[in-house]
Amino acid sequence: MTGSIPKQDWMDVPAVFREGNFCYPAKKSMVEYHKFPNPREWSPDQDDWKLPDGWEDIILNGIKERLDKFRSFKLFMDICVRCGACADKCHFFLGTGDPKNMPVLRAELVRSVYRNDFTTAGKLLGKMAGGRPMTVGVLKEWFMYAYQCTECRRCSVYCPYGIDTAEVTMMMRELLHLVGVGTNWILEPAANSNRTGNHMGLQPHTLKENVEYLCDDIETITGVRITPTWNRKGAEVLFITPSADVFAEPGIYTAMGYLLLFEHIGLDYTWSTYSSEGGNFGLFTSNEMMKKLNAKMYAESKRLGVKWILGGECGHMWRVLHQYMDTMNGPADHLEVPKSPITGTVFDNAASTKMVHISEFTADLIRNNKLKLDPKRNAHRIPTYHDSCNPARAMGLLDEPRYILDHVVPKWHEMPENTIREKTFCCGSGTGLNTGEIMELRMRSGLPRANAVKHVVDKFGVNMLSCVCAIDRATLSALMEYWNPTVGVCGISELVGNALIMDGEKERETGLRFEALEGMEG
Amino acid sequence: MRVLYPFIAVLALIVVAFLGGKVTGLQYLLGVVLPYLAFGVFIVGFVNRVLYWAKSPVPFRIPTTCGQEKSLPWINYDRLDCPSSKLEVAARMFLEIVLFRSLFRNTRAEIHDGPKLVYGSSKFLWLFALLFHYSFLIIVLRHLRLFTQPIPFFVPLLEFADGMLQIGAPRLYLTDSIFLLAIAFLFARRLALRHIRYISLPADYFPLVLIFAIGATGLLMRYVYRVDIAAVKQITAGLAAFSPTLPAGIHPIFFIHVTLVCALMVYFPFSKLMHMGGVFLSPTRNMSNNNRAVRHINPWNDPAIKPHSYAAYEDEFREFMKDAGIPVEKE
Amino acid sequence: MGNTFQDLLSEKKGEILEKWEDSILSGYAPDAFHIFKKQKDQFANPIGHKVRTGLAELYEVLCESSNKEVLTPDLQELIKLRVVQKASPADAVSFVFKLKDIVRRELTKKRITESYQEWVAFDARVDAAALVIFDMFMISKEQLYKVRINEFEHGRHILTDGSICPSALVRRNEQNAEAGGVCP
Repeated sequence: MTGSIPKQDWMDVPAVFREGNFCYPAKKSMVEYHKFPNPREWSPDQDDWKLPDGWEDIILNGIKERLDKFRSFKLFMDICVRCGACADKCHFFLGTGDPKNMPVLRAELVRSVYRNDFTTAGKLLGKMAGGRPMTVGVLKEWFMYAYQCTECRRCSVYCPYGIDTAEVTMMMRELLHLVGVGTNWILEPAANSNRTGNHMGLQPHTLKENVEYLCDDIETITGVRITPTWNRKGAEVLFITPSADVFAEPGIYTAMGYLLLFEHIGLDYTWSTYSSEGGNFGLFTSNEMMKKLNAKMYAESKRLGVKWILGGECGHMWRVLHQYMDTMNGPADHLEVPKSPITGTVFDNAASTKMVHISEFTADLIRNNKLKLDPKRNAHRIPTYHDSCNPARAMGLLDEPRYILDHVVPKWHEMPENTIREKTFCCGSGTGLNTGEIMELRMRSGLPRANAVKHVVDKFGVNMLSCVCAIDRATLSALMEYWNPTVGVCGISELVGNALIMDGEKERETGLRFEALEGMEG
Repeated sequence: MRVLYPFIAVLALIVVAFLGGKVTGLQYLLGVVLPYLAFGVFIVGFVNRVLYWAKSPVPFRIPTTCGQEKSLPWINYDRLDCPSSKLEVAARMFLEIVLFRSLFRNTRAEIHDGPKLVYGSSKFLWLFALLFHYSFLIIVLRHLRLFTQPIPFFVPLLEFADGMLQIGAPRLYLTDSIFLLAIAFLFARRLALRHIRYISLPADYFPLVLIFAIGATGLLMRYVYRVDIAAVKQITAGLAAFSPTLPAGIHPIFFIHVTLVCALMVYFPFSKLMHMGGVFLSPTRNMSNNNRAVRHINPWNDPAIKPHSYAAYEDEFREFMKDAGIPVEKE
Repeated sequence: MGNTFQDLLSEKKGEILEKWEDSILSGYAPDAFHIFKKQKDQFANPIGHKVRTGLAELYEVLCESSNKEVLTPDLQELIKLRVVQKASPADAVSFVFKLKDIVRRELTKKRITESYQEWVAFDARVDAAALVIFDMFMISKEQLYKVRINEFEHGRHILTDGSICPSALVRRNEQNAEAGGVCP
């Protein structure tokens, strides 16, 4: 028994904020907009966080309230045995080497307070039972590590009790908001989404204009003019996708893919400006905010009188749609069980929520031979496929995108087995961590993913990282640019759109990015 | 300190029990009163904790999906890792609880850039965790012989299988040695792996030390001090029949063993050992992934939370919308 | 005895690399050190992997009779890692100099027959490599900033930069009817 005990207990290591290791705090105006408590100007790297009087009690009462509302929270506070199976599964830990990024310790940051104030053992034994009182130091730790977790759930796959750090992180973030500690890059898009309908803050006319630009490009490339409709009552399907898809590169190419696909099959659908955001930054804030932002989808589908809703490629959007929407804002009795008007397939798996994922929809079309595809048009792409965390671990959407890939590109390659499917590594910038001020941190947390991509680049000459997530499309682009500069990022629907043989199209000389197509005659 | 305190605590228990076991009045306290008390605390505490958990609702259906979802009929879905029916969930839970399946996931063979076997530690964690829990279970079941009349049919079977090696007299039970070995491993692992040592609390060492001491005193009783088994059965059967008797001349080691067991029972409901009950309730494992097919109800869902209304949205942007040719409700 | 300097360096490669690796990895917390050191699966341990392969490549260049350039792909990866890990340029490059010390300690355990010239030449190679690595560090650092600029230019900044306010109304309220700036 000579094993020396670590020199410094983790409880004694303070969180130190330096420019570059924290997300900028929420602006006063944003906090006011959301009517959240304690709006003020402050910064994490200053000593005084200007917390409200009695903030300790606010936090403790907040914990109490959440314990009563969430069985998961109670359970996850009680049953961890600290076996360490999760320790080396977190991309943040693997990329930073910071022990508090081991999922078990991230949760211990809260558990220690829980034990101290909510358990018999902790009340009697205090630190001996692993408890510690709520202090400013603890709060600062929470802020640091609740925002170095992307709620990707990878640790939960390996936990023998299914303890899900995402649940714990959500609670930490909710609690922090109670005392006015939040990040701007989450609250501002949430504010935009609430008011203008999308994170980008795009107003209706701008949104429509942007999509028209994309249609112009499509016409140049294919010779086919597409005129999508907006806020049209009586359409059969309402289509909702992350607003990044109509505005930011490379998401716009994915949006072009959607437009081509719907035109190709003659889908009776409409876009909405009011509900123009698939993503939901409420998920990263509080469950009330999530519900409020999400409620637009059903409200708009009701107003427009559509039969069902089709959802674009997005990660956390689908976490909300699959696991939360129906419970929060259902039942959607005004809608019908989704049925593909082209193939007649009834999506029983969405019988209650009435919302179908574009990959499920497209896979069904391909299976029923409803698409004319020429995979050779994607011959210049050698993709691999990145499973986005939420569709993989909170939905189980794994094989649909792969099935589509099989049919729209001549060949593609999987990354190593322990980095895909339910074991996929996060892009490192999810849950509102995709902000520029922590670029270096993002490059670290994305390292496990980038490293796996590098492997298939070296081995198979992969040059495209495909995915079904809007945040991925933005953040993986940066990640690849740094770690694997020869690799681009695209949505699955871009590859679909590029392979589609449209009625009345001209000979295609370029792909959707205006890149020359190799091996194509003409 | 984190390691030392648990040792001191267990040692203190042993000393108290040893001294108490020698004094007749205290013998009654340790051999009769304490077991009843501890058992009561255990049952009430256990049930209480489970009720405490159950009191909080499961507001959302949040299974961790570890395989393909059930979507289109021609895509094979993963019935175990992404269950969509209650039966499949039951199967997933069964494997989780009986075989520690998630922990095993740790250990799949992977590509290494060195020739060495490197997943040793995680593979061993699963193996020794399994060995520990099962030998513990078998030992507890074997003890039923002391508390029941007639003895359940499976107890002699277990004893027979367990003593197969036919070493020594009384026969050495396999589980006894596996049990101690497994605890020793789990303990050594906590100390040897730096990152595990870093996250370990006294509450992680204490149960290991305590359970090891229980096992060790049990062995001492059986093989070294050869405590009079008939007398022991008299006590235990008496306890079980609620007519406790205390024959004279019982070796103090018995009281140490009993006291430690009682300490474990008392400690159990207030500790992480409650993972035994908690694992059944874990919402990421015990829910089916049929979220979009069947609506899950949240009892505290707040109907007052409404979206920013379309009317307000249109009021703000009506002119822009009209200019852009987007239909509006009010001209 | 025929132990040339080169032979000794090749013979001791394993031990020297091991110590060199430790000198970098020990910069992490002890818990992380354990995992980075022990986990050999490169996908479960990218940092350990990059350190290991990067150093091995550099060792080949510096200590074995190879004509390779200092700038090799695996070393590049290691430097990129140092760039995003908040290391200062001095920190990031210092690991090269540690090699001198480690090599001296390992070789003095053996009977040394190599000449003074050989030591000088070895030191010179290490020093030259350090300069190249410093350049590599700065290039990667610049690349990192370019990534951020490109993110901005591709419109992804609206997704990824909290410092830009796309919400015109809130800003207008705040600044009393001033225009929303970058908001389209």
